[in-house]
Order: sequence, then C-alpha cells, then structure tokens
Amino acid sequence: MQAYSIEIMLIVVIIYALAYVYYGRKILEQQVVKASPERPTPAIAKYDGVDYVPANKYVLYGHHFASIAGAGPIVGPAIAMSYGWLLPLIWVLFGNVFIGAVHDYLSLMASVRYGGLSVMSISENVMGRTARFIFLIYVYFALVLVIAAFESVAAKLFAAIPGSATLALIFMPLALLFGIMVYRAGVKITTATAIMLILILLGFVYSYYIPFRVGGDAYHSWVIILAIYAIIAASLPVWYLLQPRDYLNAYILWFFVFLAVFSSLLVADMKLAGPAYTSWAPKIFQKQPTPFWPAIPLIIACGSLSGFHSVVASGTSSKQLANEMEGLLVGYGGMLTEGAVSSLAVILPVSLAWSAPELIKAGVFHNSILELDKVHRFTVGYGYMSAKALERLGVSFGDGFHVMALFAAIALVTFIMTTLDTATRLGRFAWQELFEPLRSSSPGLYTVIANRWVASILAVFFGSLMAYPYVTIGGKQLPAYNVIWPAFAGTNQLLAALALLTVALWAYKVQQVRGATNWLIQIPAWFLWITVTIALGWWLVVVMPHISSPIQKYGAGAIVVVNLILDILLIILYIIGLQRRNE
Amino acid sequence: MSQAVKAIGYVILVLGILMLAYAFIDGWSKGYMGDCAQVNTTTGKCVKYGWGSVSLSAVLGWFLILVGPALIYGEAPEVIKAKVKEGGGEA
Repeated sequence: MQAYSIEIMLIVVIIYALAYVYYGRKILEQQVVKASPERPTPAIAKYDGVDYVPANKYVLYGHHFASIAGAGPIVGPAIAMSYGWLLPLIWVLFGNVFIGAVHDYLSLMASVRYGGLSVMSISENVMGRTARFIFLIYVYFALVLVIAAFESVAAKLFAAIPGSATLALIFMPLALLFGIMVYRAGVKITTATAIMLILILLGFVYSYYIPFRVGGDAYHSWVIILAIYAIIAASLPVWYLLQPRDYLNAYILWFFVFLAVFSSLLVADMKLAGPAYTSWAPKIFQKQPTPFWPAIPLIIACGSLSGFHSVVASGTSSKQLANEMEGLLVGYGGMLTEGAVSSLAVILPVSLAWSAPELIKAGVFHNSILELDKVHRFTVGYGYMSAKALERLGVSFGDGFHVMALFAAIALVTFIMTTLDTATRLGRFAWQELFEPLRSSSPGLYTVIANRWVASILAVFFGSLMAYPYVTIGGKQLPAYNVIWPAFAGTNQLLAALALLTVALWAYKVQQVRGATNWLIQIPAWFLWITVTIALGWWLVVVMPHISSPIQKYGAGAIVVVNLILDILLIILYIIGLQRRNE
Repeated sequence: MSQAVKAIGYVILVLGILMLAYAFIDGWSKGYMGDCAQVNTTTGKCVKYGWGSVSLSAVLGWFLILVGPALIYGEAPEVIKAKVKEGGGEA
C-alpha cells in the first residue's frame, strides 16, 4: 500500500474537524452535558487562590493540553511503528474520536458539576463510597507509574540531548517571570507574551550551541534532579508556575504541531517510505511477540486515549475552568490536538524517514529507523520531515535536520516536564482525598499525612525508585522506561475504561442520557475495558517473567496485579450501581 | 507573607540568579555548561563530565529561582482575588 504525506494529513484533519463539530458540540455539549454559560464553575464558586483559580480559556487549554500530552503521544506511536504505520494510525484516530475525547470532556464537565471533585470522588456519587476508595488507590498507583515512566524518559532525553536540558533551565524561570509580569506587575498579557517568546527564541539559540552536561552517570543524575523539581513544582501555587508555564508551553507545542502540518504540506508529494503493515505480532516487549490486539493499549497511551487525562481534567483543569462553554475547547479540543501530535508529528514523519538515504549516509542508522531507541525515532523522524520541508525553502538538509531534531527534543521535554509535575500534584490530591476521613477523626494525624510537601515527596519517592535503576535487555543497559512503559500504559488505559464507565454512568443516572447516545458512550468503554484487562493479563504472563531487574519486575508487576484486582471490584460496583438505577 | 519570609525570598532569588548567571556565562566561554572531569589530551576535548562549581551552580540556582519568588509574592495575587469577588470569570 503506497501513500503520500498529503493523504495522511487530510484524513487526520477532516476526521478531527467532523468529530469536534458533530460529536463534540452537537451531541456531547448540547445533548449530554447541556452546558450553560450561566452556571458558576468551581473556580468561581470555590475560589481559594491555590488550586481553585479561574484561568483564561486559552491559558487553561494550554495547561490542559500540555499536561495531558506527556511522552505518551510521542513515545507510544514511536514504539508502535514496529507494526508499520497503518495500524497505529487507525488506533489513534479510532481511540481519539470514540473514546479519548469523549472521556476527557465528560470527565472535565462531570467534575465541574460536582464542584471540582476528582473522577474518583464522582464514582462515590454514582457507585457508592467503597468505589471511591478503590478508585483513589488505583489512581494513586497509576500516578506513581506515570511519574516513574516520565522521569525515566525525561532523564534519558536530557542525558542524550543535553541542549534540551539547557532550555529547561532557561524556560522555567522565564515562565515564573511571565506569571509575575501578568499577575503582579500588571503587564498586558499580549506584551508579556511577545517579550517571553523573544526570550524563549534566544534561549533556544543558546541551547543549540551550549549543552548542559551534568556529572556522574547523566541518566541517574537527571532522575534525582527531576525528582526534586517535581516535588517543588507540584507544591507551588498554580498561578505561580503551572498556569504561566503551561500558557507559554502551549505556544511551543502549537508551533510544534503547526510545523508538523506545514512540513507535511511542503512535502505533500513525498511517499511514505515505511511499510503500511509489517506484522501482526512483531517482537516489541522484552523481545517477545507482541500481538496488536490486545497489546496496543500497552503501547500507545496518551496519543489515542488515556485515563491520566480524566485525573487532569477532574483534578487541575476543572478547578480552573471559568465558564462551562469553554469546556469543549479544553477537554475535547485538547485530546484531538494530542491525537494530531501522534499522527502528524510522529507516525507520519517516522514513516517518511523510515529508510531515508540521507540519514543512512550520515550514520544515523544502518537500514531502518526501527534500529533507534524509541525517543530517537521521534526526534530523527520529526527532524527529517521538517528538514526536507526546509530544504525546499533553500535551507541545507544538514543544518535543518540538526536544528529541528533539537527542537523536537525540546518539545518532547516541554510535554514531559509539564506532565511530570502535574502528575505529582494529582498524586498529592489523590493521597489527600484518600485520607480525608481522618480530617474529622484525627485532625493532627491528617495535618501531617496530608501536608502538601509530604504528599508530593511520597509520590515522587515511589516513582523515582522505579525510574532510577537501569534494566538489561538483550545484553544492553537501558533506561527503566523500557520496562515500566507497558505497565504504565496498561494501568493508564484501564483507568480510562473505568473513568469512562464512571462518567457514562453519570450521564445515564444524572443527565438522563438514553438511547443511541448512551450506547455511543457505553460500547467503546466496554470494548476498552475488555481489551486492556486481557492485555494486562497477557503482560503479566508473557512479558513480566522476562524482566531482569527485580525492582521494576516486582514493583511494576505488583502494581499491575493490585490494579487488576481493584479493576474487577470496581466493575462489580459499577454493575450494582447500574442495577440500582434500573430498580 | 511576613517581612522576614519576603526578605528570605529576595535573598534566595538573588542568589539563584547569580548562580544561574555564572553557569550560563561560563558555559558561553567554554562551549558547554558543566564541569570537565577528563580531557582527551590529543584533541583537547572533554570526554567525561563531573560535578563541580558550574553544574552545581546551574542546578541549585535553578531550584532557588523556582522557590524564591514564591516566598516574596505569596499565594494569591490580588488581581485574581478581585476578579473572583466581582464574580468575573477569567483572571
């Protein structure tokens, strides 16, 4: 099957546009949620200056998009390219339209209607008190895996591409300065944005020439530095770092997506060099044959759909939404934008760069891009497509490739850093909610356990413990994410199924949604739940025994086993909840 | 925020800026930011990096800059509080 760049781009854009208007606006916003601009949101009604703070809709869209778009939309599809480009693309588009965007938007709006409560606490209202505790424990473990996987990917990236570390050092202080300029000094948001974008551009130029190289084993050093960063960033007020940083991030990420679309237009006549299909079960995890179904949700996480999104939507985003009518852009639009990252910035470029002679000549790989580490597949693919586009504008391929590969790495770091500290913040929320009953029975104990620094440190400590050691695969020492990834992705996707079932129950019981619209939400949720439950069982039986490192083998393995048990319990409570309504 | 906390915040911020600036200026002069632990005597290039004054200044300065302004400015900007009191949405 032979395809051109322009064909892929058009398919993606048309499907997303139709989905946003017809499924998002006409069905979900108008028929399911029945959004109203008159109803006050929790950011207004429960304002506290720390977590409940109304944000400009574009700032919030930036925060939400940057938080949900971690390494998942990039690393996952890069791994899945072992199947060829067709199956991953179908999974991304199918997952976005029928599951991911629905899940994100409904989680956000259900949380808004429950005063900013997390999706875990919403489950209490529709499934009972026990469900809430099971859900909270599940989510806490899932977030620990998110922290572990993303810390590992970010540390690997900083160690391998030290220019990206330089920009991280520059970017965070600039984000703080932006927040202070806008919120404290009264500088207009447009003026402050213009100043910051110029400074970020200068920072990029500096980072291109001056890499930041840390001492010792660079990977291990970065795991520790990132752990400290996550604790600090997750404990600071949202207006101070999270909101301005994510607002500025959104410009980088938008530029990143725009450049992918622009490049694919400039190279519209280029054929995809990669095969549409390679095998149903290539050797992916621990060199074991990995069947597309049911294993694909263990590979492509956030790019298609993600349970982590429901925690973000009902964790930080719902507490900052200023108006219900802005929810569709934030929740539904955020997910589609992330899908565009997977399809246009990863699957398409990697397919174009598959066996590019320029890259073979430059010694980037010998025969195929699949020889590269997952992170490098993305940076090389994105760098290649952008460089080919720039070449047509008169820029030499070599210069364009080096600059754009660094830009790709920086964009990935931007995604990851945001998700890392947001995951830590959400881990703190889940921890604090878990011990909420102690607030009245043992207030002294609650004050210590639920202290924001204590809660952040615990989540990061458990995550870092798994991220720190190398793992040995095929005689090579590799970063921990190589074995944590499927456990993280599977737990995350199962969380998506559970969250979607929860908000589907909310739509059914509270919003009184019936008929075809109800089934449009329920059927994908059940399909996902069955797929991921089987996939995690497959991982435990086939893949886990081959993991050499005991920390990841038993750490990630134990979390998956516990979460599978909690998953079954939640499904039983879900069915009971559904029957109660029917009675 | 008390005056003492604010003063600590200013000290931390200034210290952080100085440390980060030192690392960036040093990096510009050498072509990389960090400390060389081993030099290839033939090429004169650094082949192994260690922890030293530059890399420690960069990392510590970065953390201090993240924390300092939080102590100076406190938790809730008046501009956001005012918007909420007015019943307005966006800050």
